[in-house]
Amino acid sequence: MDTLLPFIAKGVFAPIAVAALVLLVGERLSGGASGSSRQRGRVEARAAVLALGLAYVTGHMLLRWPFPVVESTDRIPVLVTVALVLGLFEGDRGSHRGPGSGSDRPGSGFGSFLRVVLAGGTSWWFLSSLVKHRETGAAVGMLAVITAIMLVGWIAASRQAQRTPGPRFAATLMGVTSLGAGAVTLSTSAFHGQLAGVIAAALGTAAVIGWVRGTRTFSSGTVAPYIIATSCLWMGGALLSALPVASAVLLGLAPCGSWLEGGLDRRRDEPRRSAWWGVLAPLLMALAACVVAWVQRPPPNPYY
Amino acid sequence: MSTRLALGAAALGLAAALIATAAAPIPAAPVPAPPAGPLDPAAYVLDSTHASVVYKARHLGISNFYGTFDAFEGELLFSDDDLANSVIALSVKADSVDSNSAQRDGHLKSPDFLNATEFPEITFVSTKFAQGRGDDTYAITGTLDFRGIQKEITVQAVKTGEGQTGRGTKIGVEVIFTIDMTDFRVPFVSESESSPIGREVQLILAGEFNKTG
Repeated sequence: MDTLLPFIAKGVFAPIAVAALVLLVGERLSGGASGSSRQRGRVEARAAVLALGLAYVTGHMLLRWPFPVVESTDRIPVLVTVALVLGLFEGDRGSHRGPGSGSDRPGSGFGSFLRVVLAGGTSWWFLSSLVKHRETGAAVGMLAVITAIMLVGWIAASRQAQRTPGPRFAATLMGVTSLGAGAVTLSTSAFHGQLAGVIAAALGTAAVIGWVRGTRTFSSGTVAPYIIATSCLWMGGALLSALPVASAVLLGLAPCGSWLEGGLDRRRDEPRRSAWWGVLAPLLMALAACVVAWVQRPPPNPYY
Repeated sequence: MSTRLALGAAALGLAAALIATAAAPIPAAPVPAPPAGPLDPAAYVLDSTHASVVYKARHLGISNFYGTFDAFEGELLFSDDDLANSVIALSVKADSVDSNSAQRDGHLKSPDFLNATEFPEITFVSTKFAQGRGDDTYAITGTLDFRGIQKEITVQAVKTGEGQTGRGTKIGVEVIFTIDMTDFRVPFVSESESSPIGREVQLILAGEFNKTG
């Protein structure tokens, strides 16, 4: 147990503390119930982005100092920091526009362009030491597919976060990320699993504080650091370790499961059922990723 | 709007150029060739069929654990009379690690330990040969490249024998690396006593080098 305690302290307790501190400070700065709705929404959205981004960077740095940047995993805190800035920008836009404004549709402006650049840049830089050994065509094709999966997951999660900005979607993504951590760990990359645990801890904190305090602890902008961090982990698991590609794709696309809720929402006679599907579908996809990782795990040695 | 489009096109072009640059195929890194010195020490190449690379790690502070690397190469320029111009270059394929457990091998190859996909080779190139404390022993200083980090270390080497055989002139060498894993930022090794794997790991190369020139 004494072997695990330092990892738990750095990878779970520290991100929880950072996320909670940022969210509560955000709540305080937003003026609570006395502030104007618009002002409150903007500050809470920013705090939600900062909480996830800073909690992740803190947890990562405590688990393993990433500087100087040498290997792909060292690049994640840098990429998450860039995503955090984009998330603040997106969070501001999201707080100006109401749910269902359509601002997250692909191709709807400069924000979408920045997403494409960040997603493409992330997949390229994260995998740069890998793709340089591959032929140009194969490398570009691989990066294009990864970028496309990231963008689809990003758009889906962003729209869901606008539709349900409260703690429920944070809890759903916490479940997805926890199952992803399990799948990655099963595939012999415990460090990536720990880093996924950092994200899950921060999301869990956001969900709990959102429920208890009734504040908006997960916003459209929060999706930027979430997608960048988790995509790196699933990519790293699949391409640098032994996570089955099918598991990585399922985890990357899991946020799209929440689209079911949007589709079923139109059937007004079943709103409760559609809400459940919006939560369950991403979790089922992540669970399927775990099952695939379990089935394809390396065979244990009979002597151990 | 046109400015945004131009900016967008420029950024996309830059991104595509960066991707193409990164994706350009490069040849696999060969074992660095030792330079020839003025006294021209004899050149040798490692006979990998008569050599082993073994690692020894401390597990949970309780036992010593041994495993092997099955793919490696080496070159040597050596003369007892000209240590100043003697050079050894070794290269071990990280994904050839064998710990007698497929599951553990997968873990050892992952970014938790060797990060074999990203850094497929562990290399050592000497920069200085010095006489050791005993006969036929040497202290070799050089650069170890492990997990993308280059560190200067000094390893102990022993000449275990040499002579003319039916397969040409051979020299027997045993090189012992003592590597501090924290120097190379291995995630699962820490400075604390509770680290699951001991901070110091020994890598032992023992085998025959065949004279080539």
